Amino acid sequence: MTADERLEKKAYELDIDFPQNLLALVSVRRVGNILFTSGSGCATFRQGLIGSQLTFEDGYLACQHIATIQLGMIRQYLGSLDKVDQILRVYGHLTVDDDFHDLDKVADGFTDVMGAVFGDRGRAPRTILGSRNLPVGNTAAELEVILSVKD
Amino acid sequence: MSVAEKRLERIGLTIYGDDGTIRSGAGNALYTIHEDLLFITGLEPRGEDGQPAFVGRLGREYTREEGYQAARLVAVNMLTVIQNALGDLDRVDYFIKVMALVNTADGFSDLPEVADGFTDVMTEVFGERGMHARTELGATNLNNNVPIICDAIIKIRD
Amino acid sequence: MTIPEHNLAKMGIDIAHVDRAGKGVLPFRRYKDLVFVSGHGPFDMEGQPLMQGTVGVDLTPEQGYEAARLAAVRMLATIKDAVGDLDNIDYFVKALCIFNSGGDFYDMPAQANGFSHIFTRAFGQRGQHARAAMGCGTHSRNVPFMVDMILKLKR
Repeated sequence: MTADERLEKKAYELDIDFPQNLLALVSVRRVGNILFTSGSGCATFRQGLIGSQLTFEDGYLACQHIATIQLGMIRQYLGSLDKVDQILRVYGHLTVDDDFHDLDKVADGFTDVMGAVFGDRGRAPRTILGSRNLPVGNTAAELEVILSVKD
Repeated sequence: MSVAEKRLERIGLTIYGDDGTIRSGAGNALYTIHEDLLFITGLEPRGEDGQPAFVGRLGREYTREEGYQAARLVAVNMLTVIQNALGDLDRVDYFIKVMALVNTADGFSDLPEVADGFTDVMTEVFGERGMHARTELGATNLNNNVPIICDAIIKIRD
Repeated sequence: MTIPEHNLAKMGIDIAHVDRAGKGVLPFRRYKDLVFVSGHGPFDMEGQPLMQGTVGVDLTPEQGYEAARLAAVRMLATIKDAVGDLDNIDYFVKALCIFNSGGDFYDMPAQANGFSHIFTRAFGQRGQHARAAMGCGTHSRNVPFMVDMILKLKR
């Protein structure tokens, strides 16, 4: 039995519940040499619908902002961004007006920062959709990544 | 001709020539490969000219059946990208996970039936290996206002 | 036609084609020590929605929380089926939690805890996961919440 398993068994025997106030979430989860990040929005920056309250430029800037937030999380987890091998996939939602259809160009804000940091290794495949509401008072975008790391 | 291509022929679909017709957003790659994993970007239902062949929403411009056809076209687009990425469709081991984004007007909720257009093609071409875990979501908008976008995570043969 | 099929044809046997239309979606797919679980929502085991509507319009945030909890319950059935024994799970990796959202509902992270807390309460620290909690338009069958999940198995 591993030490982790012994802890679990002890907690079970003592009828100790997992602390209710411990967050269910982690910023980054690793499996082997692949990392999955939690989604990030921009908390106090550029809120509203792209195409009405916000311009295209606002949306693009919001995505750039979120890219730096994601990279901060990844750096904190790895110690250095030099350990990143490749950004494998980007997934995200944008809050857009019904008539605004240039979602890819807005998401380019995110990709452009990743490209600036990692070159071609940062320009990953993307899956982007429009939605009505997003967290933190309707942040303009929320994005997450899957990436690989060097051993 | 690979087994997959033979099956494509049987169901009457042709994938596009290798001239880079399938384009996504300006800045990103169409796919990445990490060890034996192939990540494909979200793809639109584009025609051979590289332009969206369907523009509009399910429940407004398009019916469920038309959405199904648009989803089949997304599968053709993806097979073209896979062919370009791997050189040979038979290098696909199996599909792991697909995101199917459906552009909906209020109230349209037959998302699985629309996304099945994509899944059915992959199952026809690759058999059980074309089956996959899938999440369908209703989008309020998609790039170019297309009715459906699908991505995929695929395992490559060792 | 392959040689075996040719030989079968000579015997007058034609292998029937199985119509897989609409049946290509798996509840989960395993890749090495990862299990990718398909999108699940607040459905019963017969596939009937237990809740419907848009959070912030038809449903309150608390009802959104309940929908997330019901999705976790339904997903656990798939997970148990996928892994056989829950002790085979090493830890949970990543969840994508999406609410059909409208009105002034922006509190997806708090209400998605209806889903996430089931896993930490059951699995402790191993139940923690990376997560995105977002809004979207209409879901399948107009349920208010859908979630997919990646988990890691012990070797």
